[in-house]
Amino acid sequence: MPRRLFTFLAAALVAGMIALAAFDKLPVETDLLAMLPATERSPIAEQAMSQLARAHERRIVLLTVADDAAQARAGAQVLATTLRASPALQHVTLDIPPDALDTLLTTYLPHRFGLLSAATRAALQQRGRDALQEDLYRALASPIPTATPVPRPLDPFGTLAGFLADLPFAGGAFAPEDGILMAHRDGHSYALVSAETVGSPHAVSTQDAVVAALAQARAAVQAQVPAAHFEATGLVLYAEAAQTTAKREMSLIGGISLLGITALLLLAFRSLRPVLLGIACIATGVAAGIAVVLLVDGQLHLLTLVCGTSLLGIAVDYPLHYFAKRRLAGADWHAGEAMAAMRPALTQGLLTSLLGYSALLAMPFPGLRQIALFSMVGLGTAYLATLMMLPLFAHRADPRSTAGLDRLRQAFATWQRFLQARAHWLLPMAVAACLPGAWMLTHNDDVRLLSTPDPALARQEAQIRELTQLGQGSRLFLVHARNTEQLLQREEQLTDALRARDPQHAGGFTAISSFVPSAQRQTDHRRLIGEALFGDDQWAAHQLDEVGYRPRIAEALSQAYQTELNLTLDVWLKQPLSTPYRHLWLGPAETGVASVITLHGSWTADTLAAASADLPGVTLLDKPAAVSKLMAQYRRGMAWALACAIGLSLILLSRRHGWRGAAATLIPCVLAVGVPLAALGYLGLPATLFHWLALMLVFGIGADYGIFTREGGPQGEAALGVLLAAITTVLGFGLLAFSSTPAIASFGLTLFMGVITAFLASPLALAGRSAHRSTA
Amino acid sequence: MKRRRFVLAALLAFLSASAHADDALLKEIAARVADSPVLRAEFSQTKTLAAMRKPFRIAGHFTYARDAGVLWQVASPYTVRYLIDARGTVEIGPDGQRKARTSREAAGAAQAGQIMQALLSADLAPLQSSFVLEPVRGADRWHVTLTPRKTEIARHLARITVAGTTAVEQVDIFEASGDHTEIRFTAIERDTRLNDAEAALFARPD
Repeated sequence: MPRRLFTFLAAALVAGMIALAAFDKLPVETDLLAMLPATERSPIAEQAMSQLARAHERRIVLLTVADDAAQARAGAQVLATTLRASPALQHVTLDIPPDALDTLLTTYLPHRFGLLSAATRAALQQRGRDALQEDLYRALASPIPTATPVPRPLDPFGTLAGFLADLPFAGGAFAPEDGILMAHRDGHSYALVSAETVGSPHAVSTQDAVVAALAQARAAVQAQVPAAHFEATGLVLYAEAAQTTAKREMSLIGGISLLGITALLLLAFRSLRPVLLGIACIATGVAAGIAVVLLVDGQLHLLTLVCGTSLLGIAVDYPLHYFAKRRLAGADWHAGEAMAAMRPALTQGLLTSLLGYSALLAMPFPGLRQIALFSMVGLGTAYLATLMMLPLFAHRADPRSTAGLDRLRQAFATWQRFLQARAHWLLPMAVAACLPGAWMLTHNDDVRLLSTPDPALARQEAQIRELTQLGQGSRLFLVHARNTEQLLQREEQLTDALRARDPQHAGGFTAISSFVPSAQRQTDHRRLIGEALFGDDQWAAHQLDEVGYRPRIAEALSQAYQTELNLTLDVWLKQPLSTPYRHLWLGPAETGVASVITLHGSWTADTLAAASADLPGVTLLDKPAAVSKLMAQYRRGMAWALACAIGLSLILLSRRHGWRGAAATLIPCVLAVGVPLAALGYLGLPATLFHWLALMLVFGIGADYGIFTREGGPQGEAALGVLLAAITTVLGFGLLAFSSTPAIASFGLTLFMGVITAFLASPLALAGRSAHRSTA
Repeated sequence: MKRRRFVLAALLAFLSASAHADDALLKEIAARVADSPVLRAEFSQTKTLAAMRKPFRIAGHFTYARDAGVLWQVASPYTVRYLIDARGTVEIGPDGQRKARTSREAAGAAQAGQIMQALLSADLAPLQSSFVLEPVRGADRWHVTLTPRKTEIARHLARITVAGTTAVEQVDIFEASGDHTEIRFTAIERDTRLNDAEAALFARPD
């Protein structure tokens, strides 16, 4: 016996130490999407996604806001100066080089006849020279000089100006003013500052440093330019907020539930020993869970951590039943015998729980698998701890009076008689009441349910996105082709289709082919405009002469046209103005080249699907949609797993209790699964994967209650244990309903309803038991 | 030393006094022109470009509505209509159809539209953040010179002058390249309301 003890203690100690050592700088993953499996089969698609993620995840965009432009500028200067001093940030950009417009001209002017905007091309195809003539007049007639960088004589028909105005430059409403990007709207002026984090935005050290730098900047702006303030958005801020919330909730919910459980146990047992031993059982379970997860996955996910704290609620059941039994036994107590008598119930309870979780373990959802692994290891360890530790440390009898507890037993007996007397019609009625609700149940697999970003951050992001038209990063097109020319042509087919489906310009896209049209298209444009302008009749020369241009203007145009070459991608990629867009070019991929087209503004999923249908080499990567689809699959899988687990448990239990007995034992747990589902249906709340995840746990708990009640016998021996277990579980899980993460809150609420049902229905597990015993 | 300080103080006083006088004059000019809710005129615009051997002329009708913006209808040498208001410049086709623009184009057009509306209504104060305004009062005429503050605008635009009496009568735009645009307004008439045809053109569906 002592040998077993020491082995176990040593193992527990090691597990606990690993966990504790790791806890200090526990690698907690906060990105909820990281819990999800890779959605893309193709390695190019994964490369596209990760390349874009890299381009996006370190970026921070900031706006200073003030009522007048000068204050916004001054605020932006203070902000940029403060941020530049922070070692956590790099590439803090405020000023844009004054020759930015010149680079635009030097890049594009040598290729002007091949570069037409979609609108100019369409007008030229439909109305030919009439359209060009109008443009010639329009360029001269417009009352205000347009901010085009192209001198009028070099582009008298305004075609290059039209192309440049159509370039999908990031920036939205922002335009350079004295070297700073500014926007003015609704009486406010905005100045744009951007920066990048030096380290990974998921690292706690980066998050802390960035938040400190921003707080410092806020104070500096407040002190030096009180009329201005700034808004900021970036993945690092969301990650920091999620991390803080999770840690706060974990310590709050975990702390309250631990306190509640301790108080409850003290009240029930009037002794510190069961409390300490109970906590020891849970602690070894949690420590072993963390240790194994870290060993297998290398990092612990936030959701695992939060759900894991509620493992307290289920792991504590094992020691509870032991102590409840000892308390009730009074002086007539033999630890070894009692444990031997209890072991079947404990084992069955553990096995049914493991059965439920093993179904999760089989799923390719990394996050769920981690939760399952954590829970299985944690429960298994807590079970072993209960089995080995308790008879050693709490083997003496508890001879105190059980009068108070007898009353509880009587209450349970009354409730049991009430239920059993009416079970023949109450049970069918409960089932009948549940069925319509279950029928009305709807589902929602939207991935956004996984996280509700901090509202203040979301508001700032919405405002910044609105003004800057930042790409979304999560929805994009992947284009793949044999060579660069084919790639650009395929991009053009797609962008033409997108344009045709969006006449109101509600959505936008950023494609390399918008900056560098395919050689085919450039040649096509040059031929189109060349025929109109420089045909045998010298139309351009006549037109330009008629409005009054000097003859050398027409000659220079014609000469430039004769010698013009296409703009190539290689040349463009070497230009400084392509820097912000180089991530769109994936370069050589396995059998050719690939690029991505990012989307912004509002596009419906149908429009995107319709535009890309039938186009070779084009794939729509819609991460949220793909993940939502996957979540739906797993939700269905979970429902099946639950059904299988109930079936398997029936078989497992029938070996000990017979078919009728097994069915009776499972009644509380089936009701506990059914009632929350029906309640959701009646309330009109859509069920999510996380409700089903909770139901899996409810199944395990409900099965435990049924088993212990049945094993405890009709005298209600298990009643105290089940009552304490139910209250502790409600304390542990019910509190999760207050989490600000909707996934965790719905998890908590479902468990709350399920556990209450399982507890109230637990006497039904005794159906047929008394008769069985009396005949035996 | 004392004397110099006195001169400096006097100069500062003069400068700030003249700044106040400028504001007052700008207000007065705006008030004079905004006197009536609707203003109609014929306009002729002459562009003189270094690249051109003769000036390029266009002519048409101009309607200013205090609450709605400016309608700019070119009649010769071809017809085109522009609706200019604080939200931007929109071209109206012969069939009354408005030309859709990309948001980026619209942002630029909105800025140009704001400048144009301010010029044509002589309500110049809102342009103070972008331009240095120098108003000068003559016997019964006034004129205001606008010099851009922002380098991006100054690259294209050297200065603008607006001149008039009880209405804007002439706008001169001097581009950085040396090109010059002159807009003259004649047959100015005042009214209390838009006629139906104008109202229909001003109505923006969005």
